[in-house]
Amino acid sequence: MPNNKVFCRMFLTVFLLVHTVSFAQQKYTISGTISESIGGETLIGVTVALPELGSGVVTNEYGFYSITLPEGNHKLTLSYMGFKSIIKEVSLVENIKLDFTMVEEASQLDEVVVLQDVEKTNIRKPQMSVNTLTAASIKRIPAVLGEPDVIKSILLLPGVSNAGEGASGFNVRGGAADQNLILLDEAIVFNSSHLFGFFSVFNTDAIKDVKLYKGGIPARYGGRLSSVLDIYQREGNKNAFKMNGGIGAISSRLLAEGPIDQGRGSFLFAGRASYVHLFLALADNDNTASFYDLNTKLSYGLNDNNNIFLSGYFGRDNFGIGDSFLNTYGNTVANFRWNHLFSEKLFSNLSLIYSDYFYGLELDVRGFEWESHIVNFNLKYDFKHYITNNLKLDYGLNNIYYNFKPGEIQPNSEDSGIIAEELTNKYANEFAAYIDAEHKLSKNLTLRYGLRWSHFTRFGQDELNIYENDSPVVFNQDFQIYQEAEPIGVANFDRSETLATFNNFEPRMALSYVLNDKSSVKVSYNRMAQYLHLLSNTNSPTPLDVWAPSGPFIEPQLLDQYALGYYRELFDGRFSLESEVFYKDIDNRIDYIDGADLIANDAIEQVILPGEARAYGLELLFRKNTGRLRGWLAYTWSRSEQRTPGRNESEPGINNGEWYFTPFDKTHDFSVNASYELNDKWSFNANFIFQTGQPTNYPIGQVEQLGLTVPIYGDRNTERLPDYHRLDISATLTPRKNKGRKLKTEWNFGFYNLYNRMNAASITFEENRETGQNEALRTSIFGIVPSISYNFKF
Amino acid sequence: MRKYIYLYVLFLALVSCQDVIEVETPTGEVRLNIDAHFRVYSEERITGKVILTETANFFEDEIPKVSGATVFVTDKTTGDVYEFLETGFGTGVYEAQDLGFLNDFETTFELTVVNNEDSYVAEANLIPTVPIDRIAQGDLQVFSDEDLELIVFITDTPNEVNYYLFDFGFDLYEPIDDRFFDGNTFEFSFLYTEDDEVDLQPGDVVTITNDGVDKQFYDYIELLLEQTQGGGPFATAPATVRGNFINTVDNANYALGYFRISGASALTFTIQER
Repeated sequence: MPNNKVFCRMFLTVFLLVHTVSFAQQKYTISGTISESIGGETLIGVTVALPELGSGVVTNEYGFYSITLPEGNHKLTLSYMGFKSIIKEVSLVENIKLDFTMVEEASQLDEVVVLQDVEKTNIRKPQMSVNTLTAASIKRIPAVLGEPDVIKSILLLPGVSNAGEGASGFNVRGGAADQNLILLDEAIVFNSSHLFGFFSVFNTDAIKDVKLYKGGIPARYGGRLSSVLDIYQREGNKNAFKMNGGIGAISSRLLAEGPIDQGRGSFLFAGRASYVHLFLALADNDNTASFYDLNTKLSYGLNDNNNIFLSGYFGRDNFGIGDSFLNTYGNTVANFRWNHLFSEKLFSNLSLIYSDYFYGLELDVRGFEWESHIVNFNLKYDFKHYITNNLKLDYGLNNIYYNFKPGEIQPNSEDSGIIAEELTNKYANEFAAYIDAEHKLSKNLTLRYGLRWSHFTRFGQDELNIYENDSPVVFNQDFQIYQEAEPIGVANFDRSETLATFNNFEPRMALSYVLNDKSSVKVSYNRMAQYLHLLSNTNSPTPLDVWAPSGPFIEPQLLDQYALGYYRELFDGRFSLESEVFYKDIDNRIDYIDGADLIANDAIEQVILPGEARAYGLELLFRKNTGRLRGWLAYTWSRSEQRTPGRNESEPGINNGEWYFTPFDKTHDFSVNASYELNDKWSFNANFIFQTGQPTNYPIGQVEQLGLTVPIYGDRNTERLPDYHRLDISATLTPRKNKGRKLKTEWNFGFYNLYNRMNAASITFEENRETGQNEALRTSIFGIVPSISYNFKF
Repeated sequence: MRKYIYLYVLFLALVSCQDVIEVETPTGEVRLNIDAHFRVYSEERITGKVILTETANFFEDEIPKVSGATVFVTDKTTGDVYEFLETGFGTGVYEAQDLGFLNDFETTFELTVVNNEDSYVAEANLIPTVPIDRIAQGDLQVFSDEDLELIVFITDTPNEVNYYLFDFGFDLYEPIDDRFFDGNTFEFSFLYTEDDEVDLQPGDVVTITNDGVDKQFYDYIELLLEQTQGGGPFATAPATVRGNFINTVDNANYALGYFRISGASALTFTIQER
């Protein structure tokens, strides 16, 4: 680490600043919590502004704000999308606590003004490359089969794409799907999809707020390179017992919420279940594919300074073929959080999180069962310190202990010939400490700078292979191919021993310069380290994919990202334009030797080679923020490549050491989302998406072996699938009789892929066994899909 | 294990559709392809030949045959050379008069193919196999009601790593390794499916053959079969499947294909009424 000195000095500077400014002047603090009026849910991201001083703050993830001002009279302006603004005059002679309740804009036609789908980026804040979505806006976006979905919604944002229908995960700015940090109420979620990507694991009804960081990632996040998808669940209604739900074509959902102890606390239970398997059973099909999930949350305010939260998530997918194959997988997450106010300026949150990602497979035709787990215990202690109006500090600690149980194979019956085998368990610990300062230097210039120190320890395990020259992959000069090396020995280590440790200093920096009231420029730099790797050499992740920790043979992935942005409001804020360019550089990105078999592979080091990756691009987001017709237009031009050079001069590396496209390289990515409110009864919504086809491989010839026609392939990812595009529309009917009654209902009608485009999920090349002719076969997942769903609330 | 990924594709098949499209594919460098698989059933019964072709564009109807090459096998212990002659000019098929010499577990054989200026060599040892104990018919159906399940029973050789290639006829193959059942009696199912276009009726006789193979060939055939069966969205990135030939004259101008000698054990089975 050549730059250590610089960062240490920066740390020092931050502390000195803290020291000096806190003694500067006679000032008082206003602090409190901001919530909405109906259910008492706290609101994230409410702007508390002081127009006269030209400064302000926004509420944090728990609705808390703190602002410190000189003695005297002040005018506070509270604003939040979809809510009526509040203006409050305060005469400040001591520290005061002010909680606010904001009232939703009545959604009557005449008043439809500020319902934005993506929150406008605050042009003054240094945070860039971030998009926020609320549950309400996600629900308006038409989705396949009428199921609103977080992941499908973020795909409409610039810089975000995925491999198409039936592919789980998403790719941010040319990054891999395993490089996204997905947090649900601060807990890490390893698998974000149900039914192989048709649905995400997040129940939209239970979600309050979704934030996607694509760059300029604050120091409090770490462990993944490309993005952070930070999702907060609702706490539940503090004022009255309410229920809502929906009935759709694939799944139904129900949510119950209400107060505990006269509103000091609240509860929320939400569940979803799919019933595709019922249709399959009706159609006399033995196959099954289903999922369900449960979300629970309890919150309780112990007193003014202490709140506790208990939340849980449990989800499972079941997928079976007759009696011969049964696959079950899902997440279990339990999470305890404690919000404590040390003072009106110092907010803290302590989280204790347990999470278990389970994957199980029973294969009757082979007579075995297989079970794997990733268990982790996570302790987080985060502080938000509102030192002055111009300086806010975030600092904290994070420790995660991992236990990887990659698999246990057992005979499923007495007469099975299978011998039980347990793949080697692996243990690791990831520790991080961070400090991040948001520092307003002048009226126009705000800086955010911080540092994260991450430390990863791989603990001892049984059966660690030892290789000649520490080289688990050998290059066969005769055949010019990479091969698995035979271990020369096996060593067993005690769990208290350390196999490898890694240290990384991850500086984060962002700057915003306000050019005038309507426009600003921002720059950011972030370095990230990722210690876990999703082993996947398929074009899109599957539930079979295994996570592997860094260790003796796998180095952590490191990223440097630079971004520059220009933001401008047009026509009095009715339109806005955000443009960003980014460049990122990734070290230690692994790739797989030809023919690598990753499934149940206990010696993954034998099939991987370290390489590097890079991505760069331009993103444009143009929005219409007000009026009956609202929406956005997003365009991204980007490039995403990787390279795996030979380890020495006698080896060619993968693809002869040349750069090649990653499977997530999409040159052009264009999306439009538009919604139109016709009247109080009908509203309409449409999406259009265009993406350059995904890189793929076409055969460069054919040969015959053993009577088979075999396509032969050359360099990686040189061809592309046809371009992907589709149009979705939906209409929402809110019956007028809803007015003045307790039961509110809503119908949603939609068409996914309206013009029935057969988008290729893949093209395969094979011989037609009937005709003997070679063919290119296109697999497309969804043509036009109509949907209808019914939602209710009481 | 890899092939279970295809079960996910099967799930996708519930909602997806496949159609044939027109695509232009590139043509890579022309290479020699050597198909040289030998089976030693017993001293009396040894089969196999060497077929020489050239690579062609994927959509080319005719695959060019390579005539006029010099083909011979050398016993590396004795130095004896056994010549293979083209069965007729233009066929690209080369045969030896007597293959009895291959029935020797103790030696290494080397196949040499001399074509134009280039000389390609590959080595192989005779790999033993185990007999198929019995075959039964099952009633498992996964893909459609045309699926026909056969259950194959073998007894693995204990305390050694074994690899097998099962041949179910009709160019249908299944490689299996004994990692999870070393030394045990093991049964596994094979499905003839509608897509295989075999249309087996009660009374039809199928021959199932178990070839002993080594790890190198097992890896080769696994990758080759995967690429032959197409892949779908969960397919691994395809790659050139190199066999075991080395061009001793010009290393870069390598040949595709494999030279292999397997101990083989066959058993026939008559399809029953369902």
